[in-house]
Amino acid sequence: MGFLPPRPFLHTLLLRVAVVWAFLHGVLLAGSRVTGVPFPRSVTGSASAAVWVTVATVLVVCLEMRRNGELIFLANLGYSSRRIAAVAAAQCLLFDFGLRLTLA
Amino acid sequence: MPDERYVLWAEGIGKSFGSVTVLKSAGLWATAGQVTTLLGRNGSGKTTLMRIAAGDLKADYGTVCLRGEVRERPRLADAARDGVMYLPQDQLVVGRYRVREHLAALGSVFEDARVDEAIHVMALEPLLDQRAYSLSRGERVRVSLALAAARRPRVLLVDEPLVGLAPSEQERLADLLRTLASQGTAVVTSGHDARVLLSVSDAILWSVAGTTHHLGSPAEALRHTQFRREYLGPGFSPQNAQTRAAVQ
Repeated sequence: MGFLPPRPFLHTLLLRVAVVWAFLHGVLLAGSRVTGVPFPRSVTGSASAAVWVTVATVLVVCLEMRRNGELIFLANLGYSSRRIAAVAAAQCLLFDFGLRLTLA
Repeated sequence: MPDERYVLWAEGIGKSFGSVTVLKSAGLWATAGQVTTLLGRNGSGKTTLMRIAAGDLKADYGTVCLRGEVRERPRLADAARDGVMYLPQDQLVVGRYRVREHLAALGSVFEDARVDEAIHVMALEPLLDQRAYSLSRGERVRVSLALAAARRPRVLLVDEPLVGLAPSEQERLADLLRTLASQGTAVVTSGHDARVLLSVSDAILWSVAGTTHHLGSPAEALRHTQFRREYLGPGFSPQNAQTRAAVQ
């Protein structure tokens, strides 16, 4: 048994995280425009904003997976919700790092 | 002290949701090779107790012991690696995935899983490419039990598998629970279909008023005056609770 969940479930998880993360960054960007934050900070946000986006993304994704029964299916395969949350958080932080690197 | 007769047991379990106390001192005992059935009225805490025993829900107090080891903080994912499988009331299938993908996922994690055999036994061939949201309740239960049949867990907790199924399908699925038990799995199930469940069970637990009574075999349960009066009702005919109870 690997660290990552089996393929179709992993793909859906990664896709969901990407969509929620992009949406929250869109909200962040819109808010920054209104308050007049200059580019590229308007896109990347502060370090604390990155943490909040990560926490919110993980929360939304885990709640959705709980709602549709995915978490319980994966738990029956030995994948805890903490592990799923860790995968989602790692992806968020990786995206954030990539974004900062691209815009630097 | 852990009781070695049981693969999984939970005792003295208490659980409240806000101001509502669901369980006060409930217990559940699963024996290898036996079907244990939890009977009780709606709201008596059957699902809560099963979720706690499986590690899907945290108890306020009480003890859960799996394979002789007391679990301070049981979690389903840890228990699953030790051979526990929990099929919730709305079953173990996720709407967006195909039946084939569920079985493949199980097979990729547990290399000893007998996926092909389970597909054949549960006659799932026509359903393999269907997404779970398009399945009927009976088909969802069949797929869930096929996952269990492929996995062959040490302990299988199945919450109300027979609800909403036609009598013939109920008997078929009850037979499958029996088959799993005959292969050594400790099966714990629950529900309200007393006739079918009594016929297929080795032991009966009665969930009432936040606690659980171990009534013994189905034949002993049928002789329990209070259980008959308060749960089965005066119209229940033991002749219809099929022959396993009678044989015992």
